[in-house]
Amino acid sequence: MFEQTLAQPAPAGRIWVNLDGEIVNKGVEISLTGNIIRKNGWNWDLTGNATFLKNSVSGLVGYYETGALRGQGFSGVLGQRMVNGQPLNVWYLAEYAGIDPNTGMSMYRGLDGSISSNNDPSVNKFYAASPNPTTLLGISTNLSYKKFTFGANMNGAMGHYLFNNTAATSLGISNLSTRNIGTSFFNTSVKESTSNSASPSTRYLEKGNYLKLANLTLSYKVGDIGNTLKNFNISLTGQNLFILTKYTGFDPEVNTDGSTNGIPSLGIEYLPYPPAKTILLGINFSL
Amino acid sequence: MKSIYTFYLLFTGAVLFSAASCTKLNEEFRGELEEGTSNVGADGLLITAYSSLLVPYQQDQRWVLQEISTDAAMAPTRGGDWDDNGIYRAIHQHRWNADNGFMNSTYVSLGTTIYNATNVLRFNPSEQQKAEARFLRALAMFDMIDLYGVAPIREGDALDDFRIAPKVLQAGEGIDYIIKELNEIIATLPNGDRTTAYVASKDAARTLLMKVYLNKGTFLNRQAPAFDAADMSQVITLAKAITGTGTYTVSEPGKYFDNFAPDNDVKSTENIFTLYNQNGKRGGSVDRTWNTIAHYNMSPGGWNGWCTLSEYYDKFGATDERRGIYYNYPADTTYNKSKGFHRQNVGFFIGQQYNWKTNDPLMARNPANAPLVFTREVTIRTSGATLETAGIRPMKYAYDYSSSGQKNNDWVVFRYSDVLLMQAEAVLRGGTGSTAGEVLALVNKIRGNRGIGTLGSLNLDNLLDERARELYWEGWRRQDLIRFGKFLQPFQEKPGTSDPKYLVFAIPSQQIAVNPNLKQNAGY
Repeated sequence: MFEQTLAQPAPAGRIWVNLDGEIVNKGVEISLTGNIIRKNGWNWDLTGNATFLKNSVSGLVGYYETGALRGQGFSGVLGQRMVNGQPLNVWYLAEYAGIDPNTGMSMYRGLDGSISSNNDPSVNKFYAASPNPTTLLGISTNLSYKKFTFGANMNGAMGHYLFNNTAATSLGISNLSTRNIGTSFFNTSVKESTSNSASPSTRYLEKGNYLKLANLTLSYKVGDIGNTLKNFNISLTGQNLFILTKYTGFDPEVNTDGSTNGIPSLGIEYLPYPPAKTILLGINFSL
Repeated sequence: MKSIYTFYLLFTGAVLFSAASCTKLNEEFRGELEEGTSNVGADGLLITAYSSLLVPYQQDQRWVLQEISTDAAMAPTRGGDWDDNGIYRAIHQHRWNADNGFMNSTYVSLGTTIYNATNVLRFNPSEQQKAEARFLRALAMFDMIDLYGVAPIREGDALDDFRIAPKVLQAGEGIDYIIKELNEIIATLPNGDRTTAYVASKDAARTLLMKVYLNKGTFLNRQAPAFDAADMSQVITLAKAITGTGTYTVSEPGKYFDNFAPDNDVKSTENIFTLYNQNGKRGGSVDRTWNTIAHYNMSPGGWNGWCTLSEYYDKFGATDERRGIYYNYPADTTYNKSKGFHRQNVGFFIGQQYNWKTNDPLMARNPANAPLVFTREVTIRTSGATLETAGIRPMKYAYDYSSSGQKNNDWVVFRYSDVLLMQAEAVLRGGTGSTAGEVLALVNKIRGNRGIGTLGSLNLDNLLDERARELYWEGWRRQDLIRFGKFLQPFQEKPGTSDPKYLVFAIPSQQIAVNPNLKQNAGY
């Protein structure tokens, strides 16, 4: 089922249709659980799972666009497609080829293969990369010793590309006279012209690989205290404590909605509110 | 005491809730809506159909395709602003493709107009409402053929079942369809009335019919149009019929901008068909005429965007009223009027701009000590010192300061001086019914009232230039240039002759994906 744009003449709207087309997900999922130590009051469990996925679209008539990018100079710009032979929501963008040292303008690869700042990014676009992770990781562990318990969960995703829309339209070089710019635009070896507009291109596409410590808990079971407090338990929990990633934006896990004509988007980061780092101290008892 | 009270409240609440949840549910429908008994009337649907033209016409979508693709208008990229993935540059420099956002948005708006107009016919309209709806459908189909070379249409079951692909009329069939429709409805449409030009009239239908006959040869063969003498004679006959009603006269000297003023429904002597904008009633963003061109520091602040090119500006002489004047109008509540500064407020803004509150020279925003001087020189990408100042800014619709909400200027679609210029063109292209002397006098009448000298004779070149001056930024330049065989030629910021495929726009890829009857135009 697919919500399709109405063929004009028609009211502005969409209709549910049974769309010809397939999305094929191929991959392997592995899960391992091990009980590593269980003696002398020690108990240590470790579970790891990994999913390897490849997804691709086939059998569609034509293609559909989505992935609304935002910001000044990005009005009406779409960056993703659903098209045969490509992964779902594949990035369809101009291919950035560095800054022209003579003019300070961005160079793009043309459809004819040339590299020049005269190649207009709006008409020289390519299927760039997939916003879908090819690998998903999950690790969880539990360690207890007598009355102490320690638990941790980590998750990660790899092989996907994110569009750093924040860097593209809020931190770019053209802000120089009025606002701050991002560090990646500062003091570069090739001087970028302030008139260089931030066209949507692979320049802002970044690997989204990450491994995140989603939560960590340390608890101590005190037991009964006197006759009033029973099953007294103290715990300390931390969420989002750290993340290993080379992604330069706020957080590789965010997904700013850029759905267009009812087709969802994936992997856009635009001025999001990043997930908070939370530390909780808990006391639990019954009367 | 307080806690006991709270306890009772909670307790009663719980009892009440459980009592209610035990009640047997009897569903009772107190209203019903059956097919055919809907209270949607033809009146409301007709207004919807009229209103669907507001966005494509009022300096957006259709307007962008008709003007920014020519030497009359450009939307330069100013630093990072107005880049929008290069869609404006692609349209100005003839490099667009089927993914360009304006292809789809314009197609959808005009298609929606065709649908909304057809929909009126299914809800017991009066004879006049039926004729008005058919006029609007014909107008939108005419625009579709002009822009995309085809006109899609829904009939019969396809009006209810949107899974059925709409029929697509090719240029020839489409033109025949429009001519037949217009001829059938002219008798039923009301007589033209300048103060209600927003209601489709006999004269509106005649003007559209003139445009169809005049452009027919071009729509059938854009590279080498053949103008049929019989079609040209039809144009002349229709123009004479419009003049014969005695309803319209060419605006008197000093009154050119009456046609676009906030009270143009009262004042204009030329407007034949307009789109209604009335605060508290209905309308659209007619203030885009101001916002798209005005600098941030002007009053009110705009988006510092579009401009014209110096060669186009140079077509105007210094005495030409159309180039720009101080226009005195009731909706001007600024000191510019009340304190008598009388700075130019309509036409082409060029050179130093002034603060209409203090009469001081305006400054740019950044750097704030640079005077705001709009320059003749402009490139398709500007930056640095010229970012805010490059380009001459045209503005015909005097800003409606008296209305804080919807601006009241009605958008002009058809105007009497356009009718006269088309009549003259039809004579030059071999039509009979008027003499060369007659139409020369008509063109000279327009020129005289605008404050410029008379022409000794007419030819296609000086007529095209007169259309450029009279109708600038009204949404007809591309159609004119194609008909005169000049659309592909280079102009200032478009180096080189364009590929002939650009004589027609690309069918938007989003529509090809959903309508198997659509074929992409050659070359895209």
